[in-house]
Amino acid sequence: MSILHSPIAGKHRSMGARMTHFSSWELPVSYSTIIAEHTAVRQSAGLFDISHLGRILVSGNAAADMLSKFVTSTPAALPVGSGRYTLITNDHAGIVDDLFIYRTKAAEFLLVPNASNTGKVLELLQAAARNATEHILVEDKTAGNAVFALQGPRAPEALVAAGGDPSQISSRYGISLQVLGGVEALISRSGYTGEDGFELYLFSGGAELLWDRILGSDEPRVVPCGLGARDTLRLEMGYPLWGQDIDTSTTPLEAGLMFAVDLDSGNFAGVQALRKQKSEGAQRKLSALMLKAGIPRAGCRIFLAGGRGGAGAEGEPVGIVTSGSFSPSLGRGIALGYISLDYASAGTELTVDIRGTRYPAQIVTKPLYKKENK
Amino acid sequence: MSPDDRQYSNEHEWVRIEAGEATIGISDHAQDALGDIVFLQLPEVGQKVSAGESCGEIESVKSVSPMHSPISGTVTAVNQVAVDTPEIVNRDAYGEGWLFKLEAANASEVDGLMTGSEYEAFIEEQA
Repeated sequence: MSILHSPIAGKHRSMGARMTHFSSWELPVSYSTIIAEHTAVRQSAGLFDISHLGRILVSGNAAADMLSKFVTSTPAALPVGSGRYTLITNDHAGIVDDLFIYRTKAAEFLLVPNASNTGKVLELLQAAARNATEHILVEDKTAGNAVFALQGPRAPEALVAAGGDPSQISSRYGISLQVLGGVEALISRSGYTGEDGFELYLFSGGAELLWDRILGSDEPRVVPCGLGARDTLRLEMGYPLWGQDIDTSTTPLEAGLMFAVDLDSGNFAGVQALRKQKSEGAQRKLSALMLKAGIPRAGCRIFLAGGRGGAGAEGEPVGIVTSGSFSPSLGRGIALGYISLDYASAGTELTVDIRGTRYPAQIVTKPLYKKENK
Repeated sequence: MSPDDRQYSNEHEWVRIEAGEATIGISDHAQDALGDIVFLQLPEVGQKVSAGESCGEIESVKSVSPMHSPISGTVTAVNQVAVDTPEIVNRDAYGEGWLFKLEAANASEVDGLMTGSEYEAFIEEQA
């Protein structure tokens, strides 16, 4: 499998970024340190290169209808110039991907799947388009095109400094086409950090120019940020990562993602299975955990307080960590994990086994990092 | 540059022996590769450690790495300041970021380790 490179790979190199491989892509983990970059996003503004994300353009008068068979939200109900977080599920209601869908024109949708699922999602949509009676165009616009995320309380100021206009996208998930210093970008008010911010989709080149332009701002200072900070920021918000917290073995109900599902009106694959699960109740729930000491990691088993096991078997775990890390903003270990429904309420005291040592943990409501913490 | 007043292991640790007492730490290259260090699990005073065997853990934001001792011996002191503020290991890996001290079991073990320039070459090769 060959390694894929961002259109601004040269910039990462010249900036001395520490690189890693993620889903066949070579990407920066950090340019300085994870904690410094994370803090910059919480306090000021940071810029991420997220060109590994998929970008699929689906157009045609029958596009909304076709997409409704795959995404759990209702494409036809999306106003032009806005988007929504959504899911694609299989017949068992397992999550195939979590993604964003934007209605860029009346008959045009931009889908932004995870890097690891772009191929899969493309195949599904292309097959459906081939079988459609009306002409639907499905285009993969990923390769060679850059996407940046500008995130932080001062991101709107940074966008203005770069020549953009936040007022055109005043509410979350709005999307508009703008020209920043001669570079055309489709800009959405969105992000994976919990802060105000924008995602900039470039389809006509100018990536290096725009990257430099945004980072060139003196006031506010914009800090380049890598995947390391992207992960700690999203985990503090309790946002799931596909392939770790959600996948085809987890349903939207178990994962707490029903806000992305139009269950009553939907006709997407898996809707029946999901309705059935909703009426019967899920057996487990993706919960947020806060520890006082110890840093939980994916795979750590979760027990009741005092290390007791759950009902039914002596010493059996009641859950498992799916994502864990150190939270720079909270200064402690945090995690997401699936907990048996009986024990999955906020406030429940649990124990996490971290490489043989048991540490107390508590289930908390999301987001783990709350604005009052500032 | 890797200081010449100490020896280095291929696990990116250093040992400096002064008046029979050995001080152990991780190299600047190691702290840079690890990223922000947030937790240290050091061996205990009195604990016997063997060269190359895991005797603790260094945890960064992203991952956990085992801590080794480049030489064998008995632990005589641990750096409590580093335990309390692990970021000192990132800031000053060769000075204030030392990890623990040992009474060396076998002084000749350092002969098998690398000099500063040998370690520099070793890092180059790995890159």
